[in-house]
Amino acid sequence: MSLAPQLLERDPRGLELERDVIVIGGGVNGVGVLRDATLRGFSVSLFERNDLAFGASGNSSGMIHGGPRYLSYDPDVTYSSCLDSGHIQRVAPHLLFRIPFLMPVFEQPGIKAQATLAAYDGFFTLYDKYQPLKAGKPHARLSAGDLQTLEPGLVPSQGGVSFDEWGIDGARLCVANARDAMERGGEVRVHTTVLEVLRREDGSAYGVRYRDRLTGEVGVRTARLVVNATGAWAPLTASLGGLKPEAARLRPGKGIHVFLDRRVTNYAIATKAIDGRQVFLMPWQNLSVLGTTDDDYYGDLDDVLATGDEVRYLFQAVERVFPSIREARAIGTWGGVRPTLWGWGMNEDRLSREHEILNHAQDGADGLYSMVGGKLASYRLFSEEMTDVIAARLGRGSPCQSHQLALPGGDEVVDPMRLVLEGGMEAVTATRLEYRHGSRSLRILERMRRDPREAAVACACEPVTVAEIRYVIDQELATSVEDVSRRTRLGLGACAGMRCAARCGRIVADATGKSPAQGLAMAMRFLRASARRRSAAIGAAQARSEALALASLRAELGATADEPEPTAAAAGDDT
Amino acid sequence: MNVLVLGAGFAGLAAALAARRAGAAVTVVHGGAGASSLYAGSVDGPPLPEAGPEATLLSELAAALGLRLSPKALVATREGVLRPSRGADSAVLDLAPLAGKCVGLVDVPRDDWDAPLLLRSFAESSWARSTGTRFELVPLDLLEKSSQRRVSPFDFAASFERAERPAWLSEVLKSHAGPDAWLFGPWLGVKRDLARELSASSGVPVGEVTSPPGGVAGARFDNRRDALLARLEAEVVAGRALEVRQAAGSVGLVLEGGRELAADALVMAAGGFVSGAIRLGGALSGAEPAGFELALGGLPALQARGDLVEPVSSLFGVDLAARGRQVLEHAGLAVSGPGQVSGAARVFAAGDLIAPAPPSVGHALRSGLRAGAAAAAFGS
Repeated sequence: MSLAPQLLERDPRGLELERDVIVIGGGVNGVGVLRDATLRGFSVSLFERNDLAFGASGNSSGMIHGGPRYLSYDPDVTYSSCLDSGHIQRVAPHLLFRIPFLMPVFEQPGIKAQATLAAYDGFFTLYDKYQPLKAGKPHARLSAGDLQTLEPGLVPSQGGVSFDEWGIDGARLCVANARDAMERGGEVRVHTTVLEVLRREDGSAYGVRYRDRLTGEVGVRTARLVVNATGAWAPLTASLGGLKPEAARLRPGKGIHVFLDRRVTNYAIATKAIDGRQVFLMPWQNLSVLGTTDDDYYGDLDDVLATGDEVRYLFQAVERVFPSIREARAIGTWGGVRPTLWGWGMNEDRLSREHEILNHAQDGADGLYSMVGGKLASYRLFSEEMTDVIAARLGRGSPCQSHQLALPGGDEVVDPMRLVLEGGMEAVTATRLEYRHGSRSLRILERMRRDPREAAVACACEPVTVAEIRYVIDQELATSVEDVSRRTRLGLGACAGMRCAARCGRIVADATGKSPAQGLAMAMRFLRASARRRSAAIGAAQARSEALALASLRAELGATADEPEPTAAAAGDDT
Repeated sequence: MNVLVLGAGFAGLAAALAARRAGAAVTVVHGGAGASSLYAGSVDGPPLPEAGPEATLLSELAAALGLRLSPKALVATREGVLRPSRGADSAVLDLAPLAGKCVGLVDVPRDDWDAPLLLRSFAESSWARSTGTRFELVPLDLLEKSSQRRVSPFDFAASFERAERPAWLSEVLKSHAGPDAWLFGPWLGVKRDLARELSASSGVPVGEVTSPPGGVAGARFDNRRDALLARLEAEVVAGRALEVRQAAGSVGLVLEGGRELAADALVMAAGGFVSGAIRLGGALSGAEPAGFELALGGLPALQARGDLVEPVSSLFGVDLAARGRQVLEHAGLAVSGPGQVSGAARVFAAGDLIAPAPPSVGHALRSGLRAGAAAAAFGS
């Protein structure tokens, strides 16, 4: 193996390079590299076309799971996922919550239930070996009676097993990584799209040309190395550097989830869909979530929508083991696209969940790297591996600390009761605030002390206070209602933003120097997007609420989310 | 001659009034709150008649329901929007006559009221700028205790109705000279017309923004409904109807519990999706082939913007991602002329059940008056 060529220190104009590293992509791998490299003393800029966690990172199953599904054909993925799950728990304890799974077993034609049960028992005995890595409990073999006691809504089975996983809010994880890097000198540009990866005459990469999608500003940032961490967008990003898209080839796999208005079970239930795939019904934060699908995706990555077919496929699967799901009220969907490693001739489920770092020196673009594949659960490890490559190329940097240093909010445990007593919050408001922000919730409490008006609850479903909305605008790069929602879950509850989107729009406009009319337009955009995401899942239980939402928006905003034009007398007429 | 009215929202009450004034004896069947009880306090929709016999009936109806009709009204919403309307609950401030004046926006530190930002929205609206209307923030110490920051709007509105509070509030307003009108949140009483009392005592218009769904405007409607039904000497039957029975010389309703009612004509004013008269059946479940359906049996199929709504050819029901969720607003009964249900001689319909998208209070009032009059004429 030849030594890496010497990196050039100047751009073609002869100017000194501005940064050590440019990371493209604000998903979990991008912010992971940003943070790790910043911690090791490198100067780093990150560019994100949409928002942090806009793609798969914010639309995954929200689990830092150990990947038992991969144990039989990709045990390395299971090992690395479990190991890193443990690391993530140590650096962001506030963001993780336990999700115990139940897997009931039924008689199948030609297979005795007891044989299946014994096989599961053996399989999870193997998985138990990895559990200590992530503070997970060992599995239990359960009788039919045990299962009925634990989840009375389950249809009678022949027994089953339990196993233990951890849930997480992927968007909060991304924001925490980005925030930490920013506090240590890293630069993060959201809503800024990379137009071109700049290359010298010898082919080597030296920076990017970008456009701020909010202001229209176009600029150049130069760096020694450029990392393409754009997930499913990776082939597109590679092509921005003049490479063939195949240089960062993926097999993008769309996965959707449906969420219900409440937690309908205490335990997650794993079961099989009609095609034999593993799917689940899972309590997650305030909701229950059905997931997930995995299908080749050929559509627009900026606009991934669940379809009626996908929703019905999941309901059909869960209904078989948990019949009352038929009466449940689905209030939304989310969809993301996995950046799965490329492979031809096999079913989506069989594709490798491993990750790879591609050095585009092999394509003539020295200094440009692509991160492809990977899972939310192993983001930190993948980021560490990428940063190791960066450190080797730049010939310096301190050892990795991203598994030891707490993420913002993860340094200290705050008792939500303290927020209740000192801030006058309702207990549920305090608990949710502490979940999202850990010890940083004290900074939000401080805002409420300075201005008691900020203690007002703006989104009653989640709930979210005015102080938290203003905090994520001031400190976490939120610039729109949608951004605030991604960071706080505002507007994602049963009322679908009907009661809070316009108010949030007023606050965002006020905090970012925009007019009230622009705030209202922002709220409309959010409501329109969330109505589109919801449409595929509207069933009998949601139809009345949906009609009420349409009426209410027309009464209060002068138009529904589907009719873009508020009446002429509406607030302001800025364009 | 007897007319049965199913539903006691705006449309049902309009039909009951029109039938009664045409000489019919009226029986009203209703199952409680529907879309009218959730309304914002504003009369929207098509233009309303201003002259003729229908206008006379409309005036009586509006007076009984506490509505102030005005074709060019301008109302403020809790979301900071100023929008045109054709009238409103009399407690809702009409801003149209206040162009060029100064409106005092009451600032109270309640969780559901962000007065400083609402002020900006109103003050920077194109209407305020083009007419030179000013808005001024006036902090008023209206909370009796800090827990009122978060009590429901009903409880807060009711707190102003207690013995000494209206007089006290009137004094508070008088002591703040300056504004040409007062704009409150939706808190000015649930039963009493405090807006009118305060306007009289302070000498300037006092009113509210419109209500959020399920706010005080709907509660006031509920209170006034019962008084109006008593005035019409209507027989009121509480309950839900399961089926319409058509016979040679009469039409009837079968109620939950088995009771049957018969009359010369029937007005269906049971609402749309919000009220539960129309349902989306069986979606996402393989249980039955399904689509949009009427909650009671015995009537022809539904239509949506003229298209018949058949059960869809899928075991899993309607896919609103493909159809558009606004189909929820315009699925209803097909009618001809003054609300006669196609294929059912003695059955008329009004309100959201036959609404063109979007449904509105104005449409409910107008279609209710017409259907009530037509039903009474059919029976005689």
